[in-house]
Amino acid sequence: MPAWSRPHTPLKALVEVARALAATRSRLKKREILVEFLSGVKDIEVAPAVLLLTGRVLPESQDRTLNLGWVTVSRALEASGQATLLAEELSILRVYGAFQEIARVQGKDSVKKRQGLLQALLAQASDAEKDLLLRAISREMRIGVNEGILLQALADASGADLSVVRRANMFLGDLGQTAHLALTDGADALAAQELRLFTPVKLMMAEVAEDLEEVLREHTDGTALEFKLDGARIQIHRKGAAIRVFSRRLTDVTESLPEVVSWTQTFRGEDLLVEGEVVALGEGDRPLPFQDLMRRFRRVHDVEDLVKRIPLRLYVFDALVLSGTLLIDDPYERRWERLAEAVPKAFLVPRLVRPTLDDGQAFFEEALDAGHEGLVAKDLQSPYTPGKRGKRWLKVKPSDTLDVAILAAEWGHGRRQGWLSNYHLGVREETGGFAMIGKTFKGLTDQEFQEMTDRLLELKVQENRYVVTVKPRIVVEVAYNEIQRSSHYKAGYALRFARITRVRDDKSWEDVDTLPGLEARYQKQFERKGKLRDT
Amino acid sequence: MFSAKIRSEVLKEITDVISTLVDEAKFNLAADSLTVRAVDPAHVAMVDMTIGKDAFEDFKADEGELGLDLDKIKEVLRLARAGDVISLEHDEDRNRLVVRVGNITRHMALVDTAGMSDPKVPNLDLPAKLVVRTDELRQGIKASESVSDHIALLATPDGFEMVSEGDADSVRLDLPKDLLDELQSKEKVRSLFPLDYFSNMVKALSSAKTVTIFLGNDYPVRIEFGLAGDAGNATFLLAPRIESE
Repeated sequence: MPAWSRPHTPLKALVEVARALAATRSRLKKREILVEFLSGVKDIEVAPAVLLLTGRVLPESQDRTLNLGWVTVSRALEASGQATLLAEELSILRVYGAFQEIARVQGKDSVKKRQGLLQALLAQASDAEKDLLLRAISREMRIGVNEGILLQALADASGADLSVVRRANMFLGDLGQTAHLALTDGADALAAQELRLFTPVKLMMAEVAEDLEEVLREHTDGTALEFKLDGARIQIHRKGAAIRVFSRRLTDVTESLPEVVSWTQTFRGEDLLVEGEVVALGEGDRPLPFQDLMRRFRRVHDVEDLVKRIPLRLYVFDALVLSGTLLIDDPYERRWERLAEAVPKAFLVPRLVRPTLDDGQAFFEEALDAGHEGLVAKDLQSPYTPGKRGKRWLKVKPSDTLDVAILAAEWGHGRRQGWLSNYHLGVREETGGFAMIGKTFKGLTDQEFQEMTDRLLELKVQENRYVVTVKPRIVVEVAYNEIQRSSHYKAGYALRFARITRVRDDKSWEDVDTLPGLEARYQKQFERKGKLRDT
Repeated sequence: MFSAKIRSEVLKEITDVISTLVDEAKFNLAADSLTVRAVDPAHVAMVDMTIGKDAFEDFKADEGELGLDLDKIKEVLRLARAGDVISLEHDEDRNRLVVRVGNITRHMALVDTAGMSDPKVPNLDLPAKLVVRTDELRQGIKASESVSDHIALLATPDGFEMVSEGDADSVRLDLPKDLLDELQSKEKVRSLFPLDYFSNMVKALSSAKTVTIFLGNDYPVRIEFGLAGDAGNATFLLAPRIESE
């Protein structure tokens, strides 16, 4: 049957694929499943299918968001007792169309309209389909398909090198489009993709580092420390006299940031694409909270007024194109040299090259004193890899602490043999129990390990193989660098780089931080990262 | 080709009925009538309307379709004075509707109909049929609005009932057989409906003195009524709420 006359692929086919993907841990197997499925759907279904499978739902290059809050979703679910008149089997395209329609809703009664559209969609879905749709809406597919695996699958399907697929994807800025191109037009079309000015590029991202020592260990070819500014990342494109500014979410924010446009006019280097951060300044030029900055981003009308009330400062820190030349394959060191020639010094981010540990530490304090978040360390030899998070860029932030209970402990190996030295950490649940959010064996001295082992054994509830479960009575303060989403723990969260900073014998298990509190901290991190809807 | 003249109150009635469910609609044109079939975005309700040429002061049309933004039609209607006749003409070259009311001419961009399908009217076998006065329905809705978000419609061999049950209060409208123009119901049937939809539908009726209701058990309701005297007719279908056990 020719492709165009085939019926639309039903949503239940996607449900089955999601199930198969979740059932295997093998990346290779996942790739095979993806290739087989994506090769089997119609051309126009490739992008929608990819967006659903990766929990993106809408094209990344699209300004709009679903704008479905938790309340709207739960109302739509509750109202599912409402029958519909037209029973039709849901197809991938129908779902994609419905999400597009939801994203388009605006104006009066928009919340109600979005709920109605979602309701209509859910009313036609089977339980398994409903589950898939809700996971897509919450962007948590939990099928172990990230962008990396998908790009590999696209390489498998098109016969193109992974690097070619990755490059095409960063220029297209949209995984759905990349998939469509890979499956319909193939390797040559992918290879022909180039960076185009005024098409926003996905930004390079930094991994979290535990501390500056880790930075110096990782960046053996030398590192440059830059202020990690408490602002919003932007990319500025210029071609001839035309200038456009895009947000981290690739939204065009040119109209909201007129001063950035006029500053960019002073840059040398003709056609360019530079990356930087805008910071909102309050009294004494201290950065304002992120929410205030976001007001600038959202504003389209009466911008003049806000320009006065919330002045901005621009710090540029990387160049992808200068004088019309693509620089992303050049090392950071070289890109910075070119950048410094093109951009007036006042707009360059404060930085420190090849620091000693002590200098770095002082610079870190300086950044914090100035009201910023910490430092970003950049490997001097690293190319610019759009859309990628890796260790070539590391962010160093001050750690935060939580009071947690020790729920269980594992017997140590090697040097720590004979001690209970790897501790399972938990926060309090609203229901009264404890939820595990990570493990750590860091932070205690040998003597403290011994004491802790004795105390834990007294609290022992049960022991199996190498884990001793205890009554959650010992409270410890742990420092961590980030809270992450985790499917590993039932709580859904995990601490990054947790280490014990103090044993809190002065605190009881009732003083332990709660899971809702942890969720709130997680959400706050989220806002910091600019995931706030800036439409 | 489409060119017509219509009294403003008739156009208002047509627009009100369709706009209870959608903001934009596709008007299908034929030599002697105009039909609209539309389903609301949530697929909960449908309207199926046919307006004969007699509803118009003047009507000339070839087979075709026009996509109209109903909010724009309402804007024009607000300009009309009682008894005004509105003229509508399709400017095919520029694909817009030229609307004249009084001394005002409005050029109205048409809506692309490519994405608007004609929904299939589901085939329903509804055992009960009754004819009820519109103002009685309005009264029942008014009584229910502060009590619940839902309304149950019941037909028995002896009459018609509208019942709303809230958390604390309940309200019921009883219409025994002799207050109905017609009643055919061999046994008791009952379906529950979202009140906001039902209410908006009934409020949109302006000239129909009575409506015909077809009802089943946990089944959609069909509401038939006349428009523009009897030159047109329309049907609303509304899906029930299925009460969980």
